[in-house]
Amino acid sequence: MAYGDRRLLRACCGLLLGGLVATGCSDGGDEGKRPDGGKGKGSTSASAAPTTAAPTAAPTPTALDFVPDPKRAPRNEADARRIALAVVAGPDAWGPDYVKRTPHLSGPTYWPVLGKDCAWGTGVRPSTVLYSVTAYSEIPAEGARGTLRVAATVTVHRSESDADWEMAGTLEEALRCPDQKLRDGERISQLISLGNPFGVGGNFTATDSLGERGLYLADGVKGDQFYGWYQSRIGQVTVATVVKGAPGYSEEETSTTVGTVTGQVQALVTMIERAKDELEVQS
Amino acid sequence: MSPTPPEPEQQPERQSEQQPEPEQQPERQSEPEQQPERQSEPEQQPEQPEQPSGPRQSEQPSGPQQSGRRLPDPRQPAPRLDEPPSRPDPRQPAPRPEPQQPATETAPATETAPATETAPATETAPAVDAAPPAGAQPAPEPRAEAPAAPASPAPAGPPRPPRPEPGALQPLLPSDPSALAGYRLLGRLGAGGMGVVYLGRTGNGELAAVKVTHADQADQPDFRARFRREVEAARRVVSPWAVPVTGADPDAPEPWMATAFVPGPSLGEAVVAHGALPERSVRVLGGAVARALAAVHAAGLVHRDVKPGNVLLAVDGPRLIDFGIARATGETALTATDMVVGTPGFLAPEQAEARTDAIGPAADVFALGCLLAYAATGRPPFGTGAVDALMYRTVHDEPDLGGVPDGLLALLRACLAKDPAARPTAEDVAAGLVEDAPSGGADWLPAPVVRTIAERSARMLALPEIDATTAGTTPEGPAKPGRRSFLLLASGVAALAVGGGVAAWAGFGDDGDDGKLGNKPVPPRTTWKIGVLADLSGPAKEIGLAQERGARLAVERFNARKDKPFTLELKVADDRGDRATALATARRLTTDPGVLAVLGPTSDGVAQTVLSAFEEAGLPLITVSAGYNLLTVRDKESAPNATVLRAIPHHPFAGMHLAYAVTLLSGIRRPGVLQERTDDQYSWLLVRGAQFAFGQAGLTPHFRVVPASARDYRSILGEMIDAGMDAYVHCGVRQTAVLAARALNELRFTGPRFAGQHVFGQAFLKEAGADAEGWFLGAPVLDAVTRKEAAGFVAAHRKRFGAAPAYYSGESYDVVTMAMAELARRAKSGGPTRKGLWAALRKGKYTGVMGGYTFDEAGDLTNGGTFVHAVQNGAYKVIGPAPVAPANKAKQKA
Repeated sequence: MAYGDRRLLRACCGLLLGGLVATGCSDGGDEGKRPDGGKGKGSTSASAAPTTAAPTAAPTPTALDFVPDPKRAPRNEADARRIALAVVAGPDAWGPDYVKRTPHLSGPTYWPVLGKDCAWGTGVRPSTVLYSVTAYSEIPAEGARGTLRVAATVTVHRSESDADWEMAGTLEEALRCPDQKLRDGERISQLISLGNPFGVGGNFTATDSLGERGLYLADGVKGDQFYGWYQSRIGQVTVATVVKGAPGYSEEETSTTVGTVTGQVQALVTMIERAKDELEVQS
Repeated sequence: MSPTPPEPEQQPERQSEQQPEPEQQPERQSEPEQQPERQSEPEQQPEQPEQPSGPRQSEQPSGPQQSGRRLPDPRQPAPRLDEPPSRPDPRQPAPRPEPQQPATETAPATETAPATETAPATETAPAVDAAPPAGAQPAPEPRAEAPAAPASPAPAGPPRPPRPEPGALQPLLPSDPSALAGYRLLGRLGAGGMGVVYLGRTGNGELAAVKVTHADQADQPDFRARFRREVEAARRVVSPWAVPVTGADPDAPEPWMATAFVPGPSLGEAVVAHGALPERSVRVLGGAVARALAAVHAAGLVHRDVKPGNVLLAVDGPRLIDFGIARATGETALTATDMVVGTPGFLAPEQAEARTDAIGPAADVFALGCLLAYAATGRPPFGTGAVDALMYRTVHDEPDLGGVPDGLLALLRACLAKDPAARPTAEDVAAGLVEDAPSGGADWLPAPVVRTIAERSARMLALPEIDATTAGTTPEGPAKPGRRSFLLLASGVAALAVGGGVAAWAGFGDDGDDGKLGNKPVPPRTTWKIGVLADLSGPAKEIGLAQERGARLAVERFNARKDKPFTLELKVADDRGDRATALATARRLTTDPGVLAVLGPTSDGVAQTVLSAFEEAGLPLITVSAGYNLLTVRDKESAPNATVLRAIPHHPFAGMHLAYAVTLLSGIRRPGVLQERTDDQYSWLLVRGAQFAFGQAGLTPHFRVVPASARDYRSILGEMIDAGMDAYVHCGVRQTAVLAARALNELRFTGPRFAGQHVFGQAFLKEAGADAEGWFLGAPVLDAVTRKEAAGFVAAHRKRFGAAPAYYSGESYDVVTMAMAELARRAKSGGPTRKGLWAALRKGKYTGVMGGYTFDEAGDLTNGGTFVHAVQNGAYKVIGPAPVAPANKAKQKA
């Protein structure tokens, strides 16, 4: 379990980069997204309206190796909080160079919302979300390399359908706002997001997945950096990792830069496996 | 919502929200009825000399818009307005004034400097100029079956047997009508107590067997209602081994029904003339007829008259005719025309005893057993003679199976069980003979029978150009068309009209030295093939079957050419739209060195799965429906595509074209664009194209993305309407478009609705019903029937398949013809080769019956290629080509 399976990791990696790169969208940039390492997104604007689809709706996964145990499904905030904290990726999941930022975890009510003006602001967590937490990590600046900031987010929804709508909502954000203001002095632009339900585009690790890439522009950081937000869904839980580029880093390693995608995928897959462990029938 | 009033010069776009009326929008469409061409290519018209180059006006529909056809099309980008009247080849792009590509390709994707990929400028060029220079006749007339059949057949020439040869053509009697319901009657094929069967010809030249029921029979109670029910059921019988019903009128004074005409002799006739068939022939026969019966039974019918006279032999396999139609309840086959005179020994015991309620599918299986025994031994298993004695033996005696090959004994015994419940089903019989499916070649019958077929075919059709056709030689064979090859070719050509298999036949013409009739035909030395990889039985079979037909017609036409440098076969592989098995299916084509190019596949998923196999084999794959962009578009690190040629726009371009079509409606300010994730690759690519295009047009859409599981389109779309949506663009599949269509009507949305390729098709009309009215669908294809240039193709298709071509057939015909022409052009002494074919095709320019095709470096179609169809009165009506630039922006500039 954990992220032990290298094949899985590679597949996932190919998915993330391959998907977007190959589809050609990226080129210009990498992606970026919400404030601070993002967060599960709430509803984007008004209405990512979760329909009242019965929680029974378990549409997609045909072959995903995941059998949720109804008895273990989180039903309230306390359940969800326990699961979210057990799943969310800390620096160890990212790699040996990563350390916690301070504060390491978002507050219990943290719920950013992308406003009509394409700027992220604080919002109120919708009732369809039982709990959400973001864990911030970084590789401190060293020499020519800047501070690489990353984050991992886990959002536990009331139902699988609600989680499904969150995935759609994330895709919608990049369509609606290809350029977003994370906070003063920090922007992401040229966002392109691509979804890959299970079995599509090489996704064999999660019920659904998406990648969003673009450019990351921050005051005080030289040049356009990359931005990448990858999000997967396992049942009623979504997990996401975000990397905001910094000098000396690139998504894939080069002779002069340190690659970030391996750590990002590792953190994502770690959370996927942890989420399965939390939700699956225990043998 | 407050729609902006339409701008004066861009007319009633807004009206079109409810009732798109292209006729009311002359400036949007210069030639409403004349179908748009992909491009006109006058100087490239290969062979059409005999076409009088009449004044262009003669091709124009009459109508008020006529004068407008030379006016600039407002849908075209501004640059066009500056073009000289004699405009340059649209495929030679002028420098593009602005990027038109969505940034979905490999290159960087900034909106300001979007990836100008491979095909940039061509998109700016007018994709569609509906007005080629005067005198141009866009396309050659395809004559798929080569020689046209004569207006009237020669009466059967040779000495007549004492009794009329069943199936042979007899002259009309003075009392016969000369025409019936659009069929010109050419002669009598048979007659019986119920009525008469005529050979007829439609206005399109297709031959048909027209069975007319005597009025007195028709006046029996319930006859017409039953006739109507059975015709409807028969139309559901779909089997390559059952002759399809092509027309019927139960309400005529003398009700009639028409089926495709098969020129071959019946099984009965063949056995009478040549004796019993060898075991292998019987097995093929049994397998095919059993499959046909299974289809009959699946349609809820019982044939009730399976007998040697109702099985016709064609070069590629047998055909069951006359299934369960207009046969009075309880009536036995005895009153019908009997093929094998005096041998009504093909009835099940329950039929012989007239136990009407016991007659079901099993009766047909019993009859099949009799039929196969007859074929294997030359004798009906219950003998011949007086009918009552025959009946008695059928009910009480064991069948006489002496001489039946051992391999068939058990099966026939089972079929001939007295107890209907003890017999196998037709499916079972077919399964028992599964390895004996007809291969499409002519080798399933002994040579003497083949000869009979050939003679019959030649005589019946008396094709005047047959000599010319025969003279055609293959490169490696000397032209020695002896009598035999004459006959074989004649038969092959005749078979075109109904059964296929001509390629095999034409090939046999080669061995032409002495050709002793007792020998099996020698296969040609090299068999070159065009492959078809298509979904023929899965979710997209409507499209796949259309493509197969287009390809088949193209190959047959090629083979019918006098000057063909070689003969081609069609090799078809059904991928069923199943990604799990697609690769194995594709390898049947890619590993066959004789396959030179492949049309297909039908769907995106299969295309992605099989691509590597084609790349490895260096086998060109030409698709007219798979729009997934990465089949052709590669990132910089990857080797460029050199395998796929795509004769339609890929999905991002299609999304772009669709959005530009929206911009034709100048009142639209806030299009709502919905991406639903059922087929997320498709919807996403479409939405990305639309996003780019709306950006070009200066419009900010309202985007929504919804899960595949979303069903509450009323809430979703209600919210979009509340947000000010004034046009709806559905980036998703048909099933959800149906939901959206319903919801929009319920919400009384008045704006126009748009959707793309994966919504387009007959199923959307059927499933959305009245809610589909007023939708605009961007599709990569046109209806061949509406294209003057395709008239020959349409006629050939009707003749060949008994129906007008479906969407995607014409484009398939075009690209296969294009590939074959290139193969012929490049063929050296060693014969045709797939090597270098892709590159040659990619660089070439081809004008087919559906328009022109040119390709960019990546192998993608240039010059647009999306056609807007409006749903009007439950049918698609083509409005015109989608623009390749934002209409409103063009106007601003102009």
